[in-house]
Amino acid sequence: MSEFIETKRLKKIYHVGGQKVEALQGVDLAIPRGDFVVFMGHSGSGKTTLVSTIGGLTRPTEGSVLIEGKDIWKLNDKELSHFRNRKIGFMFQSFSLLPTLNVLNNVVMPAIFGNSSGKQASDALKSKAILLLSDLDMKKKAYSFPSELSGGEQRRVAIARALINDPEIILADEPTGELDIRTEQEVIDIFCHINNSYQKTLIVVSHSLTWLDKAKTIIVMKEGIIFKDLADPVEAIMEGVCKP
Amino acid sequence: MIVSLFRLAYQNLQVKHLRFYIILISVSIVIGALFASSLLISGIHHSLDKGLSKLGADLLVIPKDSLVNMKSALLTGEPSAFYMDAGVLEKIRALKGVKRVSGQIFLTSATGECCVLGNSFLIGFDPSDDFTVMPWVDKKAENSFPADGAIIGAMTPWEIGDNVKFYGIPLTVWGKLERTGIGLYDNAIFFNIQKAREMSEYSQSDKSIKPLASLKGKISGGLVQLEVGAKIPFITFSILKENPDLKAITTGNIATSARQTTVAVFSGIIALIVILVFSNVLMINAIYSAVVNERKRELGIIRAIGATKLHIFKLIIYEALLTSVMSGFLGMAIGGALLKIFQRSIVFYLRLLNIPFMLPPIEVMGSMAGAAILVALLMGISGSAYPALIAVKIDPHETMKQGL
Repeated sequence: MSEFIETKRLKKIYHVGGQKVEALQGVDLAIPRGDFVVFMGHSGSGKTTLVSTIGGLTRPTEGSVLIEGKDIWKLNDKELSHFRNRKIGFMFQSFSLLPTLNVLNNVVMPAIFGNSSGKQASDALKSKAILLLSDLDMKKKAYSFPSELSGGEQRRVAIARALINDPEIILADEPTGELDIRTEQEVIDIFCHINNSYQKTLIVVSHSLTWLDKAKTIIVMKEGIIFKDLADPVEAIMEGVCKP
Repeated sequence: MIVSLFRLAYQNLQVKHLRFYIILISVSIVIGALFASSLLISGIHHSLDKGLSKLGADLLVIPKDSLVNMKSALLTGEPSAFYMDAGVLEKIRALKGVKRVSGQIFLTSATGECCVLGNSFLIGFDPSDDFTVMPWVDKKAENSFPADGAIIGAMTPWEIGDNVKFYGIPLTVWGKLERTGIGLYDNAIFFNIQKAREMSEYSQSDKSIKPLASLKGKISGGLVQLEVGAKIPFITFSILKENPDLKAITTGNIATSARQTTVAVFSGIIALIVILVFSNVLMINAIYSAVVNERKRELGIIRAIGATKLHIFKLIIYEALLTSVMSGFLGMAIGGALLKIFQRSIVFYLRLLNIPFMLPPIEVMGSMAGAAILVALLMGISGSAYPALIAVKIDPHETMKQGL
């Protein structure tokens, strides 16, 4: 039986200033459903490229990305956009909310690009967004604008937006970047909550060691390959499980 | 209210106010100029069509060397006075292919007469053979047209039942013509041709006023209607062969002449508007290219969360369309208001050029408004299409790479 997410001999080559840069050098990876994976590594190690390739944002130069056995890079733009919209909830670093929309509209925005339309769907969507915001303790700020929110609050709204279409996978790139330690811990706790309560598969890119004792799987990347050195003491931490 | 792609576009407009207002004002000016010019041109054509069709004549026969006066008399109502022997009417009537002929006498009212500002165009017509005045009376008294009755143009100051006096001859206003924009109909006073001759006689007996020419056996011109199928050039040739001292002009020629003057007057304005349209399209293109470049991060996020390339294209186009439509309505309001404010000056200027004008019917104005909005929409689409195509190429991966 195939894994939930698989990459096979995944390569990504960029041409920068006439030079060839191999961001991914044939990555083979398998992530089971419900996993909580954190990718770590130095800047330029290829972790963001790998995650965005899995998320259908960057087309690989070679290899394939299989989600439930289906190669997502064989989809056309419309199918791929639909896949991103329904299967994946994205969470980026800072400033990922649209400044012209209030919190509620930011949360429901992914639904604009789905197939939901009509007043009934709109009302249901609004109720769902309010429910998510309540769960993330942000209901009171539903009609505030992003500029009126703190960094931590903005992250919560971004999490609610990532969950609005009930995706199976959440991809987050540096979701705790630029946050103080206390707020970072709060956001990580929310991720654990999502993994445990909503049964979502979480894939996180981060430099922060605070994730180490929360993630179920830690993957360290170096120069476009997955770094595996079982003799390294960090290996013990890599085996850490999420504590609900 | 839950956000939609259209609403997102609307809210995006509220972020960069200055750029929004630059496009709004610039496109409004173009649309305002376009709308006002279209109304003017359409009004001139409408007035020519309406007025000259009411003339009902295929040919105007007038004394030689009086063409310029006749045109100005017809189109703007400029009082003119020129005369010829009334006997020519019988000769013309006798020609094969001529259906009806009606003679008229043109007079200029004496300066300073009661109730007349400046000189009025006084026209004597023969009710027994008339086919160019009586059929177009819009409002009239209940009795039949009396011997001392007058029919007035829509722009004259009197009403039905009013008494007026010209060259000592009293007249009672019996009917009023519908407005046409053609001066002959709108500004003139029509009455029995016999009264015109009486006015001439009175002017010669009253030493306090400038005497009119003797009009016994005279007319100013003849209006000729041809049989169906008769050839205008052939009849014209026949009339001029028999009467070398006359000139025959077709109403079509008068309209063509007025239209040519209109083209000459407005061609510069139209050329300027075309240039403005193109420069505005380029400006919209430049502004939206900058907008797309600045919003790469936002557009990347939208792409990442499920927007297709078409959604991104639509988002940019919607923003431009919203601005264009608002500019279109604002432009029409500005153009319409300026036209209303300066209507008197514009009409005065056009009259100097022998060009008649009246506002076209509401349905024509409606289509002009629709066309103006369509032009605004096309400006918005063509200006924003290329930036929108650039926007759809934004790589959502950049969003993640740049730590968005």
